[in-house]
Amino acid sequence: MQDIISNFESLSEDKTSKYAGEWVAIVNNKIVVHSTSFKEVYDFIKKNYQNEKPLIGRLPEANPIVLSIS
Amino acid sequence: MSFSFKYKAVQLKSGKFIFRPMIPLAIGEEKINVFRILDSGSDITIIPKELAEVMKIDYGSENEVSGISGVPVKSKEGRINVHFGKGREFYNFDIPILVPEKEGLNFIIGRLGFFEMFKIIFLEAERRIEFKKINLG
Repeated sequence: MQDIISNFESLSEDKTSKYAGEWVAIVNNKIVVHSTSFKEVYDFIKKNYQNEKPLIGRLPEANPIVLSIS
Repeated sequence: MSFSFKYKAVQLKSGKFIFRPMIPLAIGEEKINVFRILDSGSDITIIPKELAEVMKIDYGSENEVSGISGVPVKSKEGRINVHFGKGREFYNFDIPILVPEKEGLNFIIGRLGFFEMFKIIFLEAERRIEFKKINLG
């Protein structure tokens, strides 16, 4: 389970900013694929990283997020 | 015993930085490793439809979820297993989820099922979230 922590902690501010709003997959502390489409990211890691446990997530947008403005 | 995660910094389009409470966890029978914002303002965890489609989820009844737009979106109720922790502390538990019918919605870790498991402190000044497991007896 340490892979998940290591991959997560490798997510630096330059990556969260560069890929804001996109799905990313991280393997061995590197972003190996990014896309606005989850399916593209998932298909890529299924094809190329079958024996790995990538960390997948959608980075939040580079705008302030609020629950409600009404 | 407790563990913590540092907030993640994001540079906004305005050039300013904002720091967000994000956590990693493994979800579902498939133990898919994911990360997302921990949202104390959300009642329940939302799994985006596109992610739910690659997971085995036992669905229950239909429901609705309202987001920032205020417009309710039809959703299915379900439950998933969560594997979460850090270092020597990892915990397995189930949480209820909603899967909206509409694609492209955000993946959020909400309160129901998750926040009951830990004492959670948002240390905004230190830009980290601290978790201490609650013994439910």
